[in-house]
Amino acid sequence: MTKVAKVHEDGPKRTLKQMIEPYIYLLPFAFGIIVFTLYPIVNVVLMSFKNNYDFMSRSFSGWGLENYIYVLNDSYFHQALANTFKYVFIIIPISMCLSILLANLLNQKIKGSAIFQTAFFLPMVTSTTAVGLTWRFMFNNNSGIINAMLGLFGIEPINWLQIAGNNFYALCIYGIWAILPFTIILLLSGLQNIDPLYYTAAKVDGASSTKIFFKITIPLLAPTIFLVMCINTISTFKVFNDLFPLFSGPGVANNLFTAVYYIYYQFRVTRPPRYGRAAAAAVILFLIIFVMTMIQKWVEKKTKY
Amino acid sequence: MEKFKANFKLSMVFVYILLIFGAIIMIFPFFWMITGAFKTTLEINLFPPVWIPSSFNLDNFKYALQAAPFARYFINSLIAMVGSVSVCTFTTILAAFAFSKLKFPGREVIFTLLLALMMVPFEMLVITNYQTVISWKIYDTVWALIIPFTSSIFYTYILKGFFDSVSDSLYYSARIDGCSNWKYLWRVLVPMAKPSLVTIILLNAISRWNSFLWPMIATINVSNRTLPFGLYAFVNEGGAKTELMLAASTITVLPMIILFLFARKNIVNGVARGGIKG
Amino acid sequence: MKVKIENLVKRFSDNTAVDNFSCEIESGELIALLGPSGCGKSTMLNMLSGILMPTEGKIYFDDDDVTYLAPEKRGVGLVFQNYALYPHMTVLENICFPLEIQKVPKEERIARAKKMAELVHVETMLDRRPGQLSGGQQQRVAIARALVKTPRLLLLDEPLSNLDARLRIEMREEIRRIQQETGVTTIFVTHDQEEAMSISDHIVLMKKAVLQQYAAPQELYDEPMNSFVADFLGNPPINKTFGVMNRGKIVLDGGCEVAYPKAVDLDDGHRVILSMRAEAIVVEGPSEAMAEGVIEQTYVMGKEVLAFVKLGDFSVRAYIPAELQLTKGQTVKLSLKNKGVFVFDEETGERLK
Repeated sequence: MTKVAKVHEDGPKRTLKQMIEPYIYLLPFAFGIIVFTLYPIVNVVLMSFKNNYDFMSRSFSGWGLENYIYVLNDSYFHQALANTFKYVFIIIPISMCLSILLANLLNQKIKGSAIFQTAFFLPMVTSTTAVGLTWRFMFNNNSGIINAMLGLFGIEPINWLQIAGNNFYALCIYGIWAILPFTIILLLSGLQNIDPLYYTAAKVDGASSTKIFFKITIPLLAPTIFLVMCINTISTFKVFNDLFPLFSGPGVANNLFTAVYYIYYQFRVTRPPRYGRAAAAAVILFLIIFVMTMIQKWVEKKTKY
Repeated sequence: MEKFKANFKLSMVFVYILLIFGAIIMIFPFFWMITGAFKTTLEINLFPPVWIPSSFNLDNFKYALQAAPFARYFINSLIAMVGSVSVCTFTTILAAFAFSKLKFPGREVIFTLLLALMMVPFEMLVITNYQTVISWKIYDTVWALIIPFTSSIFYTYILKGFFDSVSDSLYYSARIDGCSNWKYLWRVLVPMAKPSLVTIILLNAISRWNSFLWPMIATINVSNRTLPFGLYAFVNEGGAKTELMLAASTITVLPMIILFLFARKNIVNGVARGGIKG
Repeated sequence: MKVKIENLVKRFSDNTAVDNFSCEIESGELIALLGPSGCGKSTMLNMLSGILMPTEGKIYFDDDDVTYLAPEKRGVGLVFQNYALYPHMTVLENICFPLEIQKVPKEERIARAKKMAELVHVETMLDRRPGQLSGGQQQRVAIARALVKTPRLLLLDEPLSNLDARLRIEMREEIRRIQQETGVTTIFVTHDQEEAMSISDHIVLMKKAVLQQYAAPQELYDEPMNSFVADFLGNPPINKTFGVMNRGKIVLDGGCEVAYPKAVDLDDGHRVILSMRAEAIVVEGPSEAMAEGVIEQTYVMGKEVLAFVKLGDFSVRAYIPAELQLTKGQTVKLSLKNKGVFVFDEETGERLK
């Protein structure tokens, strides 16, 4: 096929129509990307350097780092970053371990795998809001099923939602539940790409199933595990949506501020809205995610077999 | 050999126990949501909780539809989803074709830059897009829910991947027969790409239906809300009764559950290929 | 339709794929474009189809200059190596497709497609999709699709290379039959000399962008113009030895003297290539001996024995009658026939008379 591909480069002499044609195909796509992705990026960066930017009049008092200085010294922002990192560090290891276990179980020759798959993957396609509200009801102090189940083990009811600290754990429990389907799907497809011959060979050699798991499955799955970990780190770093159905906002006395919520807070909650500060926070968030993505790409390259 | 078999069976029992336990935890909120939607106010507030509602009548759904315009929300969600997904699919097909099969200067560079743009979180774009819809005077209309989502780098990337895998000899074959690019795209490539297109449309539809942040920012009037945001506002603003909230939640998730039951394989494969985009 | 190619050149940014290529192809012939991979034969085909435009030179179909004509206006049919069938269309839809594009009325195109399907023997599988067909059947459908618009010229790119050995022989005869029934001028690309020899009227042999020889298969085999042509054709490969002229004899490297009468006029010290087809070497024959060699190895192959005979530094294949009962290590006398023995200039590779 390389022959034909090469031919392409020196194809028939182009008429004007042929030269314009590709751009016509790209036009509708480019419209959306330029207006709603490219321009916003440029604009948000510019906005972050405009002091006292006013949205209605689009006026500002001058260029400078005021927004960054404000945001970086804002205790809310510090708290938001601290919460976000803490959240990521709790969610990622626990969800990865559970997902590796469950993906391996689903990868066995089991009957009714369609039913299991439906059960495990359903949360991925359903609205965070609707499911989050249901969890809020399950976490309920007085009539929640979770406290009822804990009661069976003699544990006193926990006020999950209305006590600062507890609500963070509620957020984590919900977050782990919500991220499992996606994680399991990616790991499962990684597992299915492992040549079964490796397992047969190991069994012939008399390796125990524990040994097979740690000496064959895990090393061969390592690139997938890492990739999923990176994707999940980035997506959990953007935790925001879940706050609304569970707590109607950032928790008790704003104790659950997250990085993205901080952006939202600056341009939607504060009066008057502080677009410049929201933009500065967005740029900082982007830089953090950018670094994470670069680490991901770098390790991906290093771990290619 | 006998012992090996026995061991094997025992370990499989263990596998099933763990899987069933895991499946129950994953599915439980849905069970609780749907059964809760049939419970009476009394049953909902009992402690310890009632597992199965005493009767399965649709009263809660009726009351919920009266308490807030959920029918309206449902239609808004549907319009926003169908509108943005259909236009987006169209622009995606055209762009993927141009990037995969047509030659123009800077093609590779532009595509690489687009991939880099995918890294930018949507949350960062929201501020400006909010300004844009206001200055275009489409704030708080259904257009604000459609127009910003008419092109997607992510889906273009997936579809281009499929188009790339189609041998160029098909293209030249058609060209020698006098087939235009336009005809080749719609008569040959698109029918061949049906499975990829279905995946793209499903993933896009799911993420449009469930989107929460943008409708919350871009709409304000009750009559312009979509289901997820309307549902949230219903709870947050009205202090709604739990059983009505659960009934409304059921209305919100049901279309996606049905979709998932019918197209599970396609959705799962699509997610496995590129991850879902929120 | 006649095809005339004049001084055709195709340069890519980094190399020249076709260099100063000229030839004339008679109407109704089956032509093989033969050569090792990378010799420019596919580039040649792509220039004929119009996918590629030449850098210099001219291409004429009959009297029309088509050099820079768009592919769809040339009236050529092209069959790709991977057949390029549309997987989502049935066999009938595939064959109809070129006519659909030309806006031929539906009834007519179905009738024409069915006729074409009969010609290539796929009329019983019109409703199947390409994925349900064997490689040979896919090939037939691809040929039918290329022929349905009654092209002036049919081009086939490595038509047999994706088939297994048995099908390959069957399909090459089919290609010959279909070509003769339709009478369409046909050019096919191949790197397999046996394929080219067996079905084509004429062979265009290329090497490194340059036309080596354009002739009928037998002529190419009997009268190669240079050492490359001689090497490329024939099975087993021709015995190629190097030596220097000394008083009318060729002294092969390693010291063996060959008294080949046709080389007697060459100047002393002239370095030559002596190429001998295995069937042109007579071992212990009635005629006068021209060289002596030692038998290295013998393989019994039914009525004949294939022997490797050491001549100087070279080991040459020869067939010897089984009844001679020659064995390893024995010294034998060899003589060479007139036909199938060639002397080339070592430097240029050109044939020396």
